[in-house]
Amino acid sequence: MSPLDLAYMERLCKGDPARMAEYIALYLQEAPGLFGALEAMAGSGDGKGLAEAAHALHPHVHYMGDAPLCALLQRVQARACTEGAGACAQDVEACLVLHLKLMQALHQWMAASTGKG
Amino acid sequence: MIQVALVDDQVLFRRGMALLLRDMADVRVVFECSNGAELLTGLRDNPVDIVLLDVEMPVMDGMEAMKRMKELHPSVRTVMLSTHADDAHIVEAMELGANAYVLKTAEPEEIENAIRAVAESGYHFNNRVSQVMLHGLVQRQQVKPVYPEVDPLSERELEVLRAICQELTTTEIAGQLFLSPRTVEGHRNNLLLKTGARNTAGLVVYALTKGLYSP
Repeated sequence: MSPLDLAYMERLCKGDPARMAEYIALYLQEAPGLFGALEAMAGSGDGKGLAEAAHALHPHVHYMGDAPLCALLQRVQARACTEGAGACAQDVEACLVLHLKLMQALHQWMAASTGKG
Repeated sequence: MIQVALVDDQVLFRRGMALLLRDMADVRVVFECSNGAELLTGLRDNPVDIVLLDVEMPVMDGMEAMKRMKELHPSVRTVMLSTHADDAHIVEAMELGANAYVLKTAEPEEIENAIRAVAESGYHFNNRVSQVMLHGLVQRQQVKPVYPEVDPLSERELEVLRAICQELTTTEIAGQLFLSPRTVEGHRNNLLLKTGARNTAGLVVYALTKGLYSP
């Protein structure tokens, strides 16, 4: 099942597929770096940094309509603050898996809508 | 035309906002930048009406930027765009003079409404902000705004104040009270002078804390 729900993007872009593609292309470009930062913060044991990285990602994932990944990021943010980065290792792993699935779905959407992938 | 500056350290978010604003024929993005320091520099040569301002940014965050901007450019209005939905952030932003506080995950329509409302009437309070202000500031009294002793407000000023709290625009207030928009603006200015509030948001806080209005 695709994690994509682009209803919010459609409202943001007034249903214009070209504009949606413009934004999604940028997401595909920027998201790996942002999730890379999440992974790095988790790896370094920086709870505050991890919470901030999860917090920063939340709206972007929300725009892509991936509710499970949104929920997980919010949990990482909350637990990183209260329990530290170590307590979030599994959740961060799960975030990265969902991130890859989302990226794949977005690439497919781009390929279907613009023929570029 | 509403002249806007867009301030967020994440290019992805700025691009999303730019996509939204592109459809608003009465809005023009004058410049974009990625932190508060760049905003203050940009405002020197590029006057705007409204700043769409992120809270958390490197170099200078949104709260500090708003504080300095209110000193240097008091007429510029601020729509805070944040991922923080907690009371503390909302109260801090409104106390510092934000004209609206909207979540980044809000529906595009709400963001559009906030920009237009701030341009027209000087503020936009969504339900969440109203709730925080009422319950946080008034009932729990965690924050006690200090106001100078004021001349008593006239009946007409009280009517205008209550209409402002109901998020009515100047034109709507004028229609409701059978006044000209200019007269309404005059009452609004008197209210600002008498209460010492810095902006319309301050007037609403004043009305709530003094028990002059209850939603």
